[in-house]
Amino acid sequence: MEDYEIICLFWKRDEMAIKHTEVKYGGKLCLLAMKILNSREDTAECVNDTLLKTWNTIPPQKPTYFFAYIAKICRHICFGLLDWKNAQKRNAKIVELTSEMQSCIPDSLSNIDREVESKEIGRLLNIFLSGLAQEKRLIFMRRYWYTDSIHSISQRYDISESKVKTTLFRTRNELEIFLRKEGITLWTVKT
Amino acid sequence: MDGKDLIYGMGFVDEKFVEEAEYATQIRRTSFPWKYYFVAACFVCVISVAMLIPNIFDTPVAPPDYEITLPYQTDPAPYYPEIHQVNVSQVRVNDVQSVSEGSFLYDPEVHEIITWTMDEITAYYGRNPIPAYIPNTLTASPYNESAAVLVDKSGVAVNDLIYFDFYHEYDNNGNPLLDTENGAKIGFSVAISKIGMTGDCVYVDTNNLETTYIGDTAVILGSMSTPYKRYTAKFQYGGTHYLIIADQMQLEEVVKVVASIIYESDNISILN
Repeated sequence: MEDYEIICLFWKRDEMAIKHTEVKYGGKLCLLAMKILNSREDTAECVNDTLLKTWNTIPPQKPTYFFAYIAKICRHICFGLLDWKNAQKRNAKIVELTSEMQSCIPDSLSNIDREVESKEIGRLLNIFLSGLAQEKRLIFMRRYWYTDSIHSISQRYDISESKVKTTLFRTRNELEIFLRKEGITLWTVKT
Repeated sequence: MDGKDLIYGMGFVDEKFVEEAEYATQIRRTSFPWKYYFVAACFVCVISVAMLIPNIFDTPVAPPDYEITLPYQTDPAPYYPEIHQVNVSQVRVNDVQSVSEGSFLYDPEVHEIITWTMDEITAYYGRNPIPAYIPNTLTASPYNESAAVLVDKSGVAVNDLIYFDFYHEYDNNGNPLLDTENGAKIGFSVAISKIGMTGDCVYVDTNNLETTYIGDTAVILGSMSTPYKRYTAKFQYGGTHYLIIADQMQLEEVVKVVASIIYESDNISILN
C-alpha cells in the first residue's frame, strides 16, 4: 500500500491505517528502536507508542515523507525512554555516539550551563546538512540519526570502513567549525 | 550543551534528510576528475615534444616490406541495452482537485489548420515523441499517425498541441471505448507541445507541490479521487512539454511510461 493511501486512512480515522503502517514500517521502526534502546520490551513499547502518536497527530498533520515522519516520532520516544544514567552499562553504542558528537562542540559552547533547546540545535543542523555534499550527509545521517555502525554504513554504500570513518571525522570537524560560527546566534537565542 | 544534546537535536532535522538517508542506496561520489587532468597533461606533453623537435612529423617513413595481417578478426562486443531503474517508493503523488479541458481561440482570419504526418511531427519535435514503453494491454489510436495543428499565415505553428492516445479498445470511429464497470476509459493520452500548451488544466495545491525526479527531469505526478484511479504526469523534456492523463492504470505503469519518454528507452525497471 502506498504511503499516501495509508495517510488517507488515518484521515478517515480508519484503524486499518495503523495495521498497514505496522505491516509496512513496523520492522524498520523496531530496528531503529532496538539500536537505541537495546531492549526488546522497550522496543515493542516504543513502536506501539509511535503508532499511537501517529494516530493522534494525523490528522491534522499530513506528512510529505511518511516514513521519515513516523521514524522521527519513534526516535523521539526512544530517546525519551532511554535511561541516560544507565546507558553506559546497557548500550555502549549510544555512549560511543555521544562521545563522537561531544567532539563537535566547541569549547565556547560546552560551557553553556543551560540545555540548549533541541529544536534550535535541529535548526542549526538543518542548515549544516543542507550545505553538505550528499555523500557526507548520507553517512552522517546514517551514523547519528539512524545510529548505524561503521560496518553497516560501509556495507550499505559499498565503501570501505576507513572511508566511512574519515568522512565522519571530517564532517564532525566541519560541524565544529560551523557551530563555532553559529555559537553567537545560539547564545543570543538562549539569553 | 553536550554530545547528548546534539544526538537528541538530530531528531529535529528535516524529514527530507531522514527520507533521503533511508532510501538512498548509493552515494554519488564527488571525486576529483584526475583522469581528465591526466589526459590533458599527456596532450600537453605531446604538443611540447612536437614543438621542440620541429621536423619530427616531417620525417618520411619507409613503407614496411611485409604486410601486416591480423591473425583473426575479433567479434564485436555483444550489445546489452541499458536498463533504467526507477524506484517507485520515491515517487511523490500530489492530490489533483480537478482536470478541465483547455481551449484555444481559433480565428480563421489569422489561423490555418494543417495536418502533420508522423515524419513532420518527428522533425518538428526533434525526436519521435511517442513513449517507448506502452503497456501490452493498450493499443495506439488510429489517429496517432497524424495530427492537426494551427499555423499562422506565415506558416509558423501557433498551436502545436498534439495528442497521442493509447487505450484498451476503440469503437469503429477510433474513439476509446468505456469499460462497463466504471464507465471510463482504460489507458492514457499524452499531450505534447513545444510552445507549452498542454491542453488540459490540472488543478493541484501549489503550496504543497511535490516533485518526483526521474533522471534529471522534474515530474509533477498527481492522482485524482474519482471512482476509478486517474493519474496525471506533467513534465518538460528536451524542450517539449508533456501532460499524461492515465485512467484506470497502476501507478507503476504510469511511471514506466513517463520514464520511457525521459530515458528514450523501453528498458525500464521499476523497483518497489
